[in-house]
Amino acid sequence: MRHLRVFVRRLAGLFRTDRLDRELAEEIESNLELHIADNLRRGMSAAEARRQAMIRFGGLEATKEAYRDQRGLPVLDVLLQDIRYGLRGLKRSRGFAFTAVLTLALGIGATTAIFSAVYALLLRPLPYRDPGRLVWVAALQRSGFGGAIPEPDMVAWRERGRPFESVAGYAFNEYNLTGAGHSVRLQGALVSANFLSLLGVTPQIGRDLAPADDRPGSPPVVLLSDALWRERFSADPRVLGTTLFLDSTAHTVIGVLPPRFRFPEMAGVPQVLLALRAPGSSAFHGEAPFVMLQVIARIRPPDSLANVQAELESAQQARLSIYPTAFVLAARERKLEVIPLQRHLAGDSRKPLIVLLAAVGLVLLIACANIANLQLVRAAARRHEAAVRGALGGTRMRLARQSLTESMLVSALAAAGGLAIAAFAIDVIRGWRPPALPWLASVALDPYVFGFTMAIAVLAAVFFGAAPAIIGSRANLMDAMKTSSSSGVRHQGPLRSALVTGEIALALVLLISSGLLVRSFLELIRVDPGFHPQNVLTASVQLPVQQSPGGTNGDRPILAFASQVLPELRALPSVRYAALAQRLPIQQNHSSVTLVWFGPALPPRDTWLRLRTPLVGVTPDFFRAMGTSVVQGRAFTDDDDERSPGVAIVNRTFARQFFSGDALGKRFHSMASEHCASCEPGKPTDLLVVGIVADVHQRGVDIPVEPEIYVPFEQAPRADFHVVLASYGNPGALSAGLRSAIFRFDPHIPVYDLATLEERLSESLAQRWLTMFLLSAFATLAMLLAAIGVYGVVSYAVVQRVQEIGIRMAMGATRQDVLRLAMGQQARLILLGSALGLMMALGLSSIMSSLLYGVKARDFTTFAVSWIVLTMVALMAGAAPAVHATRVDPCVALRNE
Amino acid sequence: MSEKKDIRQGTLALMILKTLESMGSLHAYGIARRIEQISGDTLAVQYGTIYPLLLKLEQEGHVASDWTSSENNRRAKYYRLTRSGRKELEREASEWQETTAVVARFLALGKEQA
Repeated sequence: MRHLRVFVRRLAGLFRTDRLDRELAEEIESNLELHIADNLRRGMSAAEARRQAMIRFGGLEATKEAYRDQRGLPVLDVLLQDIRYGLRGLKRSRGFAFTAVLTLALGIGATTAIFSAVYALLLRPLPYRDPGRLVWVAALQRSGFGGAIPEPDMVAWRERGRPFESVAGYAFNEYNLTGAGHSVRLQGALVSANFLSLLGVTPQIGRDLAPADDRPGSPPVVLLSDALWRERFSADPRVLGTTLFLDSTAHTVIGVLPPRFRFPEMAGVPQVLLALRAPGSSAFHGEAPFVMLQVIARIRPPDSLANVQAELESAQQARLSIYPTAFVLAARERKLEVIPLQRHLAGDSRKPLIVLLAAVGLVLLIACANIANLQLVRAAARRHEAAVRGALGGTRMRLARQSLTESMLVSALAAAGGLAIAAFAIDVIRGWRPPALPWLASVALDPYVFGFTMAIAVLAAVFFGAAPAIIGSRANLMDAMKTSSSSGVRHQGPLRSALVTGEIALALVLLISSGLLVRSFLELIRVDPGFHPQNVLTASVQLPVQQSPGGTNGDRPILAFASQVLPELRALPSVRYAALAQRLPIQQNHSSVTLVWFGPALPPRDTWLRLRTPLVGVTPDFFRAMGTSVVQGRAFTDDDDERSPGVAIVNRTFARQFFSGDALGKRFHSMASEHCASCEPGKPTDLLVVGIVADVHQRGVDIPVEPEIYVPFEQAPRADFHVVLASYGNPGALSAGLRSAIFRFDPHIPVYDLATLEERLSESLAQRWLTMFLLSAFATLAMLLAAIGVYGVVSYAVVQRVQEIGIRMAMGATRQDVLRLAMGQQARLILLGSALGLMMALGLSSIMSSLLYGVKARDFTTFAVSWIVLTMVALMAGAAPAVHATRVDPCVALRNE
Repeated sequence: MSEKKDIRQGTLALMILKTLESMGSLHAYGIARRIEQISGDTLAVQYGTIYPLLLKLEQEGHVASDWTSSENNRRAKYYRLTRSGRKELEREASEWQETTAVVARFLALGKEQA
């Protein structure tokens, strides 16, 4: 307690120096007067009285000094003194200060910006109760897709009570909300009753789902998202208990989710949550269909992920025997994975982010090495000063501390600048808002990020300040005083060269990595997506679902829509083609899949998995609108309708896989079409292949094409589909016309997800593009910094050796000899550095490989080109001072000193 | 003057506290003079040390100070003992007495053996 009070008072003493100094002077003055008065009383003369008193009071300055030491905190006092001195030093060498602060601010700014993204995505605790114990349980196919788990399995884990504490499931769905106001398409999710309680989330008003809501046949209930509640219901709490029509079914509103609720899925922002109402049994009932769910779970504190995973796998092995035969094969090909929820939510952004953070860290390291180099030069120039201070009694510790304080000062200024740069960068990132990377909106400069910035600033200062501090304070007094300032500092050479060698190595690693990404990206955009994205507008439409779906009568309104709306769309100004399609590349699809077989008999069940083929119903102009070329045969025509024979068009992969390429005129069986001359709903038909089209990369250009079949829209109608408009001009201008054409048919039809195909294609590449762009920027920065480093070392070496060069030239050395001398050192640095860099890049190639497309992680061309570029840049950086060396006038050089 | 002894380290604070206890409120010069008088002019108080020490005691809360006018209307900084200073004085005095008693016993022991 007392120590604290003393500390506080001394701390206060630091900042009132002037007043306290005056007070002491006054006190001493008054006491002196008292003393003189005493002396006079003893009978001394006035002059003698004063003299005696002065003698007794001793050295006034020493007293003040002692008083000051007691008054403030000497350590802090010295620190303030050092800071003042450091600021003065920086002001004196503005060039150094500016370069150092700017370089470091860029480094710190970039690192902070990337870290803020890393923090937002990978480190910030999820907004759930005890989020560290939440996991995502997925059955992953070898290709990495999938993840859904049969509902009976989830129930089995819940009943068993192991290996999870609790398990919940969900599935996404979409709904037409009708009733008061305009109809809208809602994103929704079906969730098990314990879903919210497992996450530790409670509704802001109303109640959570109860187990009773979850049983099949119980009255339908719905929870609203905060956003929907505010938009549609003006945040009116009386919405509770009212009825909402979702897909024409009445649902009772039981609650509203909290404003900050985040659905535990990267892309999912459901506006309504509905009860799952699944059977809730752990058994499979013959071949009856079952629900597939995404599953999240909470593990018990002592269990490790590995244990849970192992236990789950062995438990699952036993269940294989009760799987329906059709599913056993699929189940065998899947692998159960237990993944921390946070990692699952990071999706495939995790790896690029970590690579970027590492890259930007390297840039910062190079920046530090550069500043260390500059500091060493300054330390050399200040050897005299250091020696004088040492001679006057400055201890080594004191000198080192002084130098380190200066480094900290540079770092602090740079951190301030870096934070400003990072804040700007974060603003840009958030404003960009690519739909493919929704989490970017949550990147922020929060306290943890701030702390991180401070930490790296201090680390950087220690890194670039340590060597100069140690070397600067080591000055041998005698040597330093004797020699002139320009010579006798050779011993720094190796250290400075090592720093630059390291810079070159790191810069080469970055250059190679970015080169690989650039090549990958070039490969990617060279891939033919199978369609021409230019000037194509797409939109999604959901027709109201009829009470008795399926059957010829249920499909009537769909066919009516197609025949009535398509001509209107085609008649819009500047429209070339208008088409409907049930699946479009690179967007959310509810794609249907059909079984395809050859020959009259249904194939055995265990082969079904390989025969399942995506099916797309399209209207005649679809391929023309998309620019997908018909390779063989013909496209659909208006004559392919419900009265004509069943036909199909297949993609090249299908033709290759099932007919060795020769598919035209062949037939296959499927349940694809329901309305044709020989079709009957619910019965298989054989379809004639009338055309083969180019492969379309449905899920993104970096994902391989699967076999696919197209059928006439009229022969296989569906209530949800996309509208495709190819135009002569800007397709965005067509949105209003598209909407009004559909609303004229029925104003209650939701039209949503309007976007041009080009936008969608570039969105799908957004993450790769961003990674490539940032890494290239960092690599360029690294290369420039390394070049500056080379320039610094070479030019300093030349200045140091001016005399030597002068002597050599006086002895008859030619300019070429001098150039060779100056460049030789530099060439050694570059060669050694790039050799190191090449080795590091080879060692790190396995990390990069998963980010690449169409290029090997040890691609020779990339390595070679990066090496050549870096070498050229570094040589050029060193050439200027080297050429300068050849201009040395021997007379001047020799007279010097 | 030169044969006067400097004050043993650590004891000056005790003397200041004791002086303030007996004299009430006093300025730095007065404290120094008083200590010298009590010692019969065998001790010399370095003014250089008394100011920092008074400041330290003040920071620790053992003394407090005010600027007041002295005799013949001269302004000076007067120090006085606080409650915690009184306690500190008690503590230090008894500690000092114990120490001197122990040291005295040791010295006596030495003489007997010799």
